[in-house]
Amino acid sequence: MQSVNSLFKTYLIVVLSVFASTNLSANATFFSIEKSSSEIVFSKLDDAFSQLDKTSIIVGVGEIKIVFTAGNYIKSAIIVSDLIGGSAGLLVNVLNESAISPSTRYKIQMLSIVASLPQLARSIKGVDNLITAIDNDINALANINSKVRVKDYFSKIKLKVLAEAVGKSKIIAKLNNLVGDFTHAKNFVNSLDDVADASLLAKLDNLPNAKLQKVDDYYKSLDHPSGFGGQMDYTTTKVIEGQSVSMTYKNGMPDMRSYSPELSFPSGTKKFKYESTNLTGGSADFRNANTALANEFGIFKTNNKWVKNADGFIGNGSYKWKPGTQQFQLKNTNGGWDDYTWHHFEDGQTIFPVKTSIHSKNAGGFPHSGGKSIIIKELQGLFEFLGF
Amino acid sequence: MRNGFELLETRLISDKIDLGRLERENNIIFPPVYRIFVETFKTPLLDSNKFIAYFPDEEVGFGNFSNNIKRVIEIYKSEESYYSFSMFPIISSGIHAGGICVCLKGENKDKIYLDNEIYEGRFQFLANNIFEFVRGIIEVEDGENPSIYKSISKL
Repeated sequence: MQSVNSLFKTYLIVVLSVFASTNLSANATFFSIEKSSSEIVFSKLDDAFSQLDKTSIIVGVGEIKIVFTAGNYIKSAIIVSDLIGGSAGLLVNVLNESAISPSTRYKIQMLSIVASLPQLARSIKGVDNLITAIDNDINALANINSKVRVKDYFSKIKLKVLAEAVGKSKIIAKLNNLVGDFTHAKNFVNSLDDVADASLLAKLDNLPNAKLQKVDDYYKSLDHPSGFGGQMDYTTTKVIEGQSVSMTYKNGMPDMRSYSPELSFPSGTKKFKYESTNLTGGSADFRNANTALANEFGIFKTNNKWVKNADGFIGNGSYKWKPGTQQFQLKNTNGGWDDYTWHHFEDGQTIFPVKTSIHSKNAGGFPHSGGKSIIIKELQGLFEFLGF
Repeated sequence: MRNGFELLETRLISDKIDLGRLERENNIIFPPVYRIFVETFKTPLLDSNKFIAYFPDEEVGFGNFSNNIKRVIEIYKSEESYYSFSMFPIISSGIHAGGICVCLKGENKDKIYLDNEIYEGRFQFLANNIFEFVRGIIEVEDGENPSIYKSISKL
């Protein structure tokens, strides 16, 4: 059997090769680990569980504590890949050839190899450089669906780690012990996956009984497309303005992120979202979001008043909004104007624009409940906004 | 500033709408007061440069009258959450995706409701009929400060 030192030398060669091939810092420093792999992983799990939902994650590697910022895709990957004992193949599986360049794919594969060696501590600076490079590559991906998929991937990996903590059977047992009818909450919990929805289950486990009642109320009055009553995860299709439009529902709520438009701002093209921990679900949210959007377009009030054109609008050649109204308009490819409204995401803290014909049931769009109800029922934060 | 029925235009004989045929074709019966409203007034007419609000509750987010009744019938018939409650969407709301509806059947026939996802029980009562509702809409000069018009709307 190879000794620990012998193994370490082997890994060192591999890692040095990786760093050399990716033009990283030549000053990389490595530390051997005296604890067994299982002890290290256990230690990391312990640390990570306590930190995953905060802004940073602290992972213990031997005598070293490494701090990673949550929300940074690859830094999360290093930690989590390490925790689950190597996942070099998993990440690449979610990135098809058209989604990511060979160069980025290679970097990720290399990073996964590094991350799958819990026996090694790593040069923080060296790894950090690689992390930054890959993050930039992912952020630069033109295909928005690929970005979302990468983020979802890391989210799932994170949740896989958390899955050890709370299973849905525990929540169901808790609901069964409460006085009252929790049929709708139980139906929702039963639809969850112990692994993929681990973070959500952990949050449900921490909810006081009064909030669990609100979860039941929420699902009791959940709006849904025809024929999907009581279902949580599904995809449905409608013909909207002559086009077939599919909408995927998760936890009973539509994922409208991919239908939020890319907008051309002076600062660049991007999807726009307005975030606040003080959303009300009412007209104030629409007023604030519309104001923030106008500001992003470089349009501001003068002497505390909007400077409107003769038609009562503010805007530019491709965007216009009549202050006081809840919706705004964007010019379409035919030269006409389409109405856009604000969708409250189910985290209760994020709203973003979606074409009204897709968003609003009365305009032929997809029926749904979501962020507004979550806010009124004070369930903000139960669901997470995963970004565009 | 205009309010209520000043914002609507009378439907001309040449624009007569055959509601009876639409009812037969779609197995729908419109309630009597709403029927008179549709046959009497042409909508939408609220394409004013001004902002139109509904008082006393600005959280209704009044949008505009649905301008194509055939399309609205299609939407109504395709959405369980409309037809199962006999709620026919007649006006959009910038805030509430379900819009403003007239109830087609039962003891609440002709009453106007907001399909309000954040309201307990979902359908929030607004008015006893469409005429009563229209009395609450008002043309607002400055959409940024609609509250100053609240007293006028109650006259």
